[in-house]
Amino acid sequence: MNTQSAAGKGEVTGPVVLVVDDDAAVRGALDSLFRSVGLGVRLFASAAELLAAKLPDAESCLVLDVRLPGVSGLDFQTQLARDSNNIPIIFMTGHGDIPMSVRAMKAGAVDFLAKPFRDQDMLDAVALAIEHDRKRRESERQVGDLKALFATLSPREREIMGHVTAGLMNKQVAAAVGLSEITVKIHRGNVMRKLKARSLADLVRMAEVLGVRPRNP
Amino acid sequence: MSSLPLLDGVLVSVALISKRARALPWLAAGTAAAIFAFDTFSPFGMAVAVLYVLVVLMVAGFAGRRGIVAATIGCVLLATSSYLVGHADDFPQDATARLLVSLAAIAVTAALVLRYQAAAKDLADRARLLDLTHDTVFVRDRAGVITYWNRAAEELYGWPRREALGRVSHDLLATTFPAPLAVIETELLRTDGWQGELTHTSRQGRTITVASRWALQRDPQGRPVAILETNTDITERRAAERMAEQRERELLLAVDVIPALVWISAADGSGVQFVNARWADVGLTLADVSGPDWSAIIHPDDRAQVVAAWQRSLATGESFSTVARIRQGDGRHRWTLTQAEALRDEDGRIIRWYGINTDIDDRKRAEARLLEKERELKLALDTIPALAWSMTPDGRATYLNLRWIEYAGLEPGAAVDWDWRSALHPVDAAAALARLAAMLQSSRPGEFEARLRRADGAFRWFLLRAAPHLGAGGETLCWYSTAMDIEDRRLAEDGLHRAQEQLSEAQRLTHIGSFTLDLGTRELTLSAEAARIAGYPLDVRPTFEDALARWHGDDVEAIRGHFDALSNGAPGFEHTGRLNSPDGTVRHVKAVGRRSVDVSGAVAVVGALLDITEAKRAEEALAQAQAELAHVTRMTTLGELTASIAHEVNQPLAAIVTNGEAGLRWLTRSAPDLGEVRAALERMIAEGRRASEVVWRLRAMSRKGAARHEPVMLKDVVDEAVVLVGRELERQRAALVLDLGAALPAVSGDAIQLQQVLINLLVNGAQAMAAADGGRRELRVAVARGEAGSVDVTVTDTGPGLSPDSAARLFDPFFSTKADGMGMGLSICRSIVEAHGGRITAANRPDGTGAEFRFTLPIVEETAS
Repeated sequence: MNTQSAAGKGEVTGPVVLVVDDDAAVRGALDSLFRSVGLGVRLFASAAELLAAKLPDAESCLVLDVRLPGVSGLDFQTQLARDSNNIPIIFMTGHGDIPMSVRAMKAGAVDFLAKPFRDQDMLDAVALAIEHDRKRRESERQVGDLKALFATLSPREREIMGHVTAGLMNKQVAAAVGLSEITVKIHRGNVMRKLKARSLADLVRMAEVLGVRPRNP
Repeated sequence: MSSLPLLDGVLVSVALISKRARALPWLAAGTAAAIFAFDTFSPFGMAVAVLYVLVVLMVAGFAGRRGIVAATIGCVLLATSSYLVGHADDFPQDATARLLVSLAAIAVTAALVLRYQAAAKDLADRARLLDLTHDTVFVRDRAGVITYWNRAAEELYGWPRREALGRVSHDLLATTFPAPLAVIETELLRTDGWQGELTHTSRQGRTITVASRWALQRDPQGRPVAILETNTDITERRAAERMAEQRERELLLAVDVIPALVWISAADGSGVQFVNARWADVGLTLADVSGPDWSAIIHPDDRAQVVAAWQRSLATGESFSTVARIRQGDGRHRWTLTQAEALRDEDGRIIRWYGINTDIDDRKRAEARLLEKERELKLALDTIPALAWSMTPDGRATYLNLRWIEYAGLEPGAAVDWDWRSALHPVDAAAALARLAAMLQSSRPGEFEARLRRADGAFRWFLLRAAPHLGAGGETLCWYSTAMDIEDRRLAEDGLHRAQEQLSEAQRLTHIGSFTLDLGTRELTLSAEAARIAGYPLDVRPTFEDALARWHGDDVEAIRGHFDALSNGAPGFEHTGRLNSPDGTVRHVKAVGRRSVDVSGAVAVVGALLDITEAKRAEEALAQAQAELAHVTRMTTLGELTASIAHEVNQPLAAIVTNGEAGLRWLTRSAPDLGEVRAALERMIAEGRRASEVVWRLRAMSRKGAARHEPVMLKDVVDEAVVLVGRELERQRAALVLDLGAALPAVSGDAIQLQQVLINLLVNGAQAMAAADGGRRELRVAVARGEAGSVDVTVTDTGPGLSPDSAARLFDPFFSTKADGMGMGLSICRSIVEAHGGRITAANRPDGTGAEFRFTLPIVEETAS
């Protein structure tokens, strides 16, 4: 939760806009525009150049020209999705057409802007994208925390968690794992405590996020 | 028996005496009378009657059995008579005893004589037998002295018995022995016999060959006493045998020299036993045919047939005759006639087969050649472009060639009975038949024209010619005839007149006149149209000099040059130039001429004068149209590039707008950053210029107008083109590689048009590579100095290359390999390049990695630029 309003140059912790356009003039203009509103900017002439660079660990979005030397913008989008990189993308094009924009939007683009675009349109799109990215990063972080807690469970506790979240009663769980009902209750209590689950419903939601399933004998 | 030799001696003596003295009977009678008288009247009391024995013996010397018996009875009667006379009354005992002794002696003697005579007769019979045989028989004692000699010996050797007896046989007959005599003697003593062949010489000196058999005679004690030799005359047999041998040798010699392969086979055909020497000439030996594999020398294709025929002959004894290819020693096969006959004995059994192989290869070949000749002849007859046939002296066809049969539409079989005269046109028939009859009558070659009906019923004019084939006596055996199709000639003759009329009309219509220039007299003959083009009145016959003055000043020198060249033997000329007409107009003309020598030997130039004024105008119009077409296609190309060019223009505009907006933001911040504002403004200016340049180039490309001719640097052309199509190439993901080389001289032309060519080639290349969707996409543009004062521009791609079909038609108008292509791009490229005096070619790269387009433009000469 960094402050977006904190303007100024050299804000390494603030949001960063990654611009990919083969035209140096367009890159220069966008650089000036984003900096004028206090956004961090990184400029790249091609997709390959971007992939080769070390990117900042901050909220960011991609402003991508559809026509790029080598890999085109749309292909690059597909490539990123395949690599599970869910960074939000805003497309620009010199002569956009409808099929192209539909394809881009379907693939999850935040916006599709035709050159020349209005500066406010671009800035709105970027703000939206960065908000998307912030949420994405937040959710990714929460899953990470849950995974850390889950890692503290013993194998037996994980097994019992799987059965419990699948809807089995303690007695049934005891029969399934070959333990006494008392022991199952103790393990179950440990699971609830370690994962900081407030209720069974809470635990079931966590199991879904973690992908825990009862192990079939 | 011991008395027999004595008796024998007496008898022989008597016989000898008797032969000399025919008076023996008388002597015997006298002796008997004397004895009787003495016996009767002598007082001696003794057995005088015993002496009658002498009489009996005498009679035996000449008489036969009856005589002896009669004499004996007579002697007995005489002795008894004497006794009775002397002792008529008394029969004193002693006298009676004497009488009985005497009678006994007479009887015994008679018996002995009779017996001896019988034996002697037997011997004589036997001796006669020996004389009857044709073999010589003689006996010689141990010393070789002849003791017996039969009549055959007399005849053979010419020595009579009496001369031969007592002679040494080997000396008498000059015997030659097959072995030393001592050896023969030894064998004779050992085996009591010998036989062999000897040579004797007769009394007449004739040499006689005999088959001799010797038998040794021994006495009862076993001592050899004599040799019986019988000889059979085999002189003639030997001679005959020698003759036969000689004859056989000669026969074999003859067989060897017979110019054919002779062979002899066993009766059962089991193999050849003899071949003559000629077989060696063809490299074959007895070994090749003596075994059961004799058929191996026969060509495989003929083998079965030959073997079958041979088996048939063996089975039936019939003559064998076959023609087959027989392998020679060198492995080649030659056609050979093989014939064989069986030799039979008296009983008709086959003893052996005599065969002869005759080489008929040359004959076969000759036959084949003859057949081929005949076939060729027939083919020739069938091929000649005329109807050909032969006729009997009365005009009936005996042979029609294929053309005739086809022309008349006959079935090949029906041609024999068909009367060719029925094909004559009814209108011509009467005259033609009369002419034919006259020709046949005259027995002289002749010809006439007539129409003959074709299979489809149409009639065509023919020239019919016929010539007789005469026999030794001058009589006509047959006629050979041909009919040449002269329909076309007839038509041509008819047409010629019309053509001449049409020619002048045609000349007038086509603006082509003809002329003849006599190189000797320098006189010009002009056709009406030529006179019109040159502006002469029809009745004027200008000279070469007159005509020369009409030519435009620029052409006079060239025309004079052509005239001199033609005078010196040049075969022809061609010149395009202008003529000044008397009315002040200028006509563009083209004159072509050919040197020609007429029958009189006069040399002239025959030629045509073409009025190309209209064509020139059309050419100019065409150039104009081409320029417009080039413009249209240029615009089409630009249309194709719209997207890229829009991007090219949009890009600076986007940058300008964004920079402007960014500048405003920097300016309106609470603390305006003027440095950023200045930077934004500078970028706006730069981008504004960039946009304007693109627009300027677009305007240049879309400019419309006639082609210019000015020095152009190809490097600049490439740069400009790349600016316009760079985006498009990028869009097609084609990497562009420029190889502009060192500074090259300028070419003359229109930069925009050349740029159009280049853009066309680049866009085509990029599209070809994109369509192929292959791997590497690289477009290479190379500008380099070409051969002999030219500059080469090469555009290569890494696309799929050109298909052979499209390569040939690539530059044709309206040919396109693209679905939506107009097919004008490359056609215009060629027009442009050719209009620049260059040429454009397309080919696949030698390594097969794409297509290569190359155009060559001549360099502007230093003086001209």
